[in-house]
Amino acid sequence: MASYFGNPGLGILFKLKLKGGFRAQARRLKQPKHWVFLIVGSLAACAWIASLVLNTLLQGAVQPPPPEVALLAAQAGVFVLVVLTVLGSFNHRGLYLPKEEVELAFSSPVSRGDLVRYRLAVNLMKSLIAALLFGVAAAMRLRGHMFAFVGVFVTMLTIPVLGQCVALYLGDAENRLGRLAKKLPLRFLSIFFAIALALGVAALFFGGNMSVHMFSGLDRSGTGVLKHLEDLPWVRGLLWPFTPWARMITAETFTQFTPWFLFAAGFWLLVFEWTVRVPIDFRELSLATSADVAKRINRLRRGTFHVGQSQVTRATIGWRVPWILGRGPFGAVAWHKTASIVRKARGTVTLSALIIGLLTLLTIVFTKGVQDSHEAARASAAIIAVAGTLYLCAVLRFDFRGDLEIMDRIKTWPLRPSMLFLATLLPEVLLVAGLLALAVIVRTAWLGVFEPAILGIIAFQPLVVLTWVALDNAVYLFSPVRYTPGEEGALQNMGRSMLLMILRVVMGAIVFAVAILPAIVVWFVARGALSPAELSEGVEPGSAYFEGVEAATTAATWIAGVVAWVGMLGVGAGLVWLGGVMLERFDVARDKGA
Amino acid sequence: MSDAAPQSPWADPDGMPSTASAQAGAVSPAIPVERAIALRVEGLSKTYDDTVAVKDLSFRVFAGEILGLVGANGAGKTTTLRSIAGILPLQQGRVEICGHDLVEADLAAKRQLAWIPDDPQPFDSLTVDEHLRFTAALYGVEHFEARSEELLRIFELVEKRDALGGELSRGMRQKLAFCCAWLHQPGLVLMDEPLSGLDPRGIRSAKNAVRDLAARGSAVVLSSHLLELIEELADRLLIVHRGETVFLGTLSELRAKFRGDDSGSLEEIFLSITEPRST
Repeated sequence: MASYFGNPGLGILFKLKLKGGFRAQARRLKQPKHWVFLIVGSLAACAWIASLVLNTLLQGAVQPPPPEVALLAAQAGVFVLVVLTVLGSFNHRGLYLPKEEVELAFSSPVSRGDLVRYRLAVNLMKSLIAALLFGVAAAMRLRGHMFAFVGVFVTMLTIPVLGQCVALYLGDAENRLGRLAKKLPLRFLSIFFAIALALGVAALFFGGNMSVHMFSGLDRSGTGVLKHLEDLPWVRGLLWPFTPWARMITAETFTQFTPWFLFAAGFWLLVFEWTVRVPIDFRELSLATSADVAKRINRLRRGTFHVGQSQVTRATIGWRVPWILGRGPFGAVAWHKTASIVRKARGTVTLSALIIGLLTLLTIVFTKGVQDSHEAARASAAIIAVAGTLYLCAVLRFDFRGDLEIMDRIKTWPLRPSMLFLATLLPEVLLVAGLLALAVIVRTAWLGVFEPAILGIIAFQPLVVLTWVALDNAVYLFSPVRYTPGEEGALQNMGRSMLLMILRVVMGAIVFAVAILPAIVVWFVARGALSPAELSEGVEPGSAYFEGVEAATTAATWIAGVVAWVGMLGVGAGLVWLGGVMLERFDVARDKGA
Repeated sequence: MSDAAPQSPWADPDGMPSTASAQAGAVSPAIPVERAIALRVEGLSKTYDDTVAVKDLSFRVFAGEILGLVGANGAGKTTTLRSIAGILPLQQGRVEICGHDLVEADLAAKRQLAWIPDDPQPFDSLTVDEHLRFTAALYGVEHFEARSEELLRIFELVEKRDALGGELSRGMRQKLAFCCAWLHQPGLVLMDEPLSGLDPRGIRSAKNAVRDLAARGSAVVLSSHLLELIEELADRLLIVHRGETVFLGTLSELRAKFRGDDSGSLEEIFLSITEPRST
C-alpha cells in the first residue's frame, strides 16, 4: 500500500483511518445506550430489507426483462449516474480533502499525483458498499447473474474516478477563467442543469401524444416506456456512449461478457492513471472546496431545512427588524431570532408562503363537491390548518437547531431557561400561525361567508404550533442529533432517531389527550345540561326540542372549545417549562454542534 | 549553529550582515555572522480578487534564527506563511527552503519544512501515537520511537497517547501539532499563532521547545499578536502592514529607526507604526 501511494505516509494514513473507523465504532459501544441504539437500528434495517424481500416473494418471482429492454435500461442507468456525478463535480471542483487533511497535505512532501491517487483510493473504498448493493440488485433482475453483478460493480467503481477527473478539469477551467468563473454561480448552474434534466425526462414522459403510446404499453417494470424510448433516435444517440458498460452488465454468456469487461476495465485504468497525471494546480480550489464542504456538513449537523442552513443575505442588512415582543431581555432574544429569519431565510419563507398559497388554491379542488359554502369554508380551513401545520413546522425550523453552536453564549443570557426557550421559539410560532391564519381568512373571504368556526381555528393555531414546536425542541435539546450522511455509526443513528421519533409521538399523544379529553367530557356534560329536559313536541327539524338540542350542542361546543383552548394553553405552558428544564440540563461541552 | 558551514550550497551569497540577537538586545543567544539561509523569500505577492493580501515581500531567515512576523489583523501574515508552506500556490515571487526552490523542487523543500497552523485539526479517528507514526512515515523518519517518546514527554502528552484526535482540547491539539512538527527535525518551522489555547505550563514548554529547536539549527518564523512573546523569542522582526513590509531587522534597529534611541517596547512602536491614518 505504501509504495502504491508513493509517499509511505499516505499508505499508513489510509490504513490507520480504516482502523480508526472500526475503533471509533467499538469505543462507542462501551456505553449501554449505544448498544440499544445499534440493536434498534439493526432491527429497523432488517425489517426494511425483510419487507422488500417479502414484497418480492408475495408478488412472485421477478421476470428478467427482454434483452433489448435490459440493454436500454442499463444504458439509461449508466447515463443517469454519469450525469449526476458530473453535476456533483460542480460542488467539488479540484480535489476535495477533509479539513484535517488539506493544509497538512499541501505543506507535506507529497506529490500532487500521490495525493490524487490517495483520494481516489479513499473514494473507491467509500463506493464499495454501494457497488456491492447495486451489483446484487442487478444480479437478481438480469439473466446473467454473475456478469450483471461484476458489470455493475466495475461500472460503479468507474463513476467516482470519472467524477474526480471531471472535478479536476472543472477546477482547471475555473483557474483559467479566473474572475469570470468566480462570478458564475456554479452551484446554481448545476441545480439548473439538474432541473432541466428532470424537466426533459418529464417532457419525455408527459409531452404531446407521446404519452399515449408510452403508457399504453407501460407495465410494472416500465418496459413500455423503455421500448418507446428506443424508437427515439436522439435518445439512442445520447445513450450510445454507454453501450460497452450496458453490454457488460447485460451479458448472458462468458463470450459476450469478456470483451466488454476488458474494455471497461481498461477504461477504468486509463481514466484512473490519467486523473493522477492531470497537470493542474488545485490547491486554492481544494482549500475553498474543503471550507465549503465543512460549512455544509456543519449546517447538516444542525438539521435540515431551517434557518441555520442559509447564508446571510446582504440585501436585507438595511431592513428594519421589528421588536415584536418588546425591548426587554425576552424581546431581545425574540428579536435576535426574528433578525435571523429576516436575514437568512427570506427565500425559505417566501417559498413556504407560496406553497401555502398553492395549498389554499387546492382546497377549491378538495371541496368541489361541497354545496354548502359554510361547510366548504370549515373544510378548507381544516385542510389548511392541518396540512399547513405539518408542512410549515417541518420546513420553517427557526429554533434551537440553528443555535447549537452558540449555546454557550445563550446559556449566559439573563433570562430564566423557560422564558429563554419561549422567546426563541415564539417568532417561528407567530410566523407559522400568521401564515396559516392569513390563508384561512383569504379562503373564507373568497367563499364570501362568515363562519364562526374559522375564528376557533385561528385561535387554536398558535397554541397547536407552540405545542408542536416546543415538544420537538424539548426532545431535540434532550438529545441533539448531529449525524451527517457518510459518518460512521449509521445504524446507531437510525436506532436513536427511531427512539426519539417514538418519544415525540408518545409525548404528543399524551399532551393532546391531556388538553382535549377534559374538553370532550365538558362537551357531553354541557350538552346534557343545556338540552331541553323533556320531549314536548316532535324531534323533527324545526321543532322546539330539535332547536333546543341544536342550541345546546352549539353552546356546548363553544364551552368545550374554550376548555380545550385553556387546556392547550396549559399544555403549551407545561412544554415550555419542560423545554426550559431541557435547556438548563443541556451540556455545552457534550452537546455542542460541530 | 555558530559552526554552520559558510560553504553550504544554500549559504547567503550576498553575505547579508548578521542580525545577531546580541545586537538586538533580545534574550536569545547571539547568532553568528555568516550562516546558512534556511528561508529565502523574494518578491512574494498574493492577490485575492481585487484585494492585495501580500505585496512584494522579500526576506531571509537564517538557520538557527527566530524571525517574528508581526502585523495587525488582515496584514497578510497568514497568507505569507501559507504561501511559503506551499499551501497556497505562488502567484508572484520565489521561495527557497534550505536551498530548494518551492516550485522547482517542492518535495525536497517540504521535507525541510514544518507548518503549525493557528488551529490545528488532528484526524478524529487517529490516536496521538498514530499521528506521530503517520508523520514519521510522511517525512521518512526512521527509528522515530525514542524521539516520539521525548516529544510526548516534553509536551506532556504521555497520558494522552491513546486519546483520539477528536477527543483533544484546543491546547492538546496545539501540543500534538508541535510534536508532529518537531518529529522530523525540520530546517524551517512556520508557526501561525502557536501559543493560542495553551495553558501557562504549555506556553513555557512551547517557548523552550522553540528555543531548543533554533539552538539545534532550525529556522523559525513565528507569527503572533503576542508582542511580548515575539520580543522575548525573536532574533529579528518582520513587521507587515496591509501586505507590505514596514520593517525588517532587530528590535534595536527598530527602536533606532522609529524612536531615535534604544528605548520603548515593541508594542508601543508597533502601534505607532501601524496607526490608522486620519483622513
